[in-house]
Amino acid sequence: MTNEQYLVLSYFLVAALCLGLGTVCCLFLRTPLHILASNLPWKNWTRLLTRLFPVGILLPVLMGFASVSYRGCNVQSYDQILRNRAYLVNVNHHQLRTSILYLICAVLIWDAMLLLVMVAVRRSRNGNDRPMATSKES
Amino acid sequence: MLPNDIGFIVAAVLAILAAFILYRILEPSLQKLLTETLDLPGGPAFYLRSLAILLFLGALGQAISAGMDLKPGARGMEYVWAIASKLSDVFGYLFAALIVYLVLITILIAALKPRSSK
Repeated sequence: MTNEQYLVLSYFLVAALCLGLGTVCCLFLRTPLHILASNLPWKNWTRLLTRLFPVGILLPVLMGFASVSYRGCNVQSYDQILRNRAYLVNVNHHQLRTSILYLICAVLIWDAMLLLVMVAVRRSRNGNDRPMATSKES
Repeated sequence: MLPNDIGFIVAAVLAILAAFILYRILEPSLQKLLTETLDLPGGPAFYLRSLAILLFLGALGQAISAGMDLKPGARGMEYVWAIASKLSDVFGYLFAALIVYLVLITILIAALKPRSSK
């Protein structure tokens, strides 16, 4: 296999691998998210959360993959990129690592967002409880 | 199989093992704490699964990152040094990931307060 064939094949294979990893993570987290979202008091918010979740995971994965450039300090032209197979393999590793990093950041952002949602639910429940308690007292 | 491939595979297996041990240590008490704190069903499972992704995928990502440069005919100790250097990245990542997760869980506990403390 020539270096150019390797470059084309590895680029699309790594892209597919990154997308696959993102999809697996999405499916892994989808069930608890659906259970959590279905118990939220705001139904439109539930729909929005469950529809946004795959986008919110897969988009950062693709962004991480695409953010890695083959052009570096000493490697500027297409021919220079093709010259060294080890460089191509290194870039593939870097693509995979960056998209995993972006995926982890996305998961942490979803964690933080769900934390805010749960705080809001707790506040709305407390808000609903308070008038009932005062009415009982009176 | 090339020496670098062997090094990558060994480093990846050790990274997953380290993440697994860490997850097993944290999981029981974290699950209890999350179940006590979160009112909504699905919440504890979501946070535990996200911890698993954080540890396993992150450790794997660090293990497969570029940087191992073993030549054919490398001696045994050269493998050990190369793998130890990779594991240093993995442990550094796991430490940072745990700090971030701990901060998140601390905010969660502070904001929602476990039932046992009320």
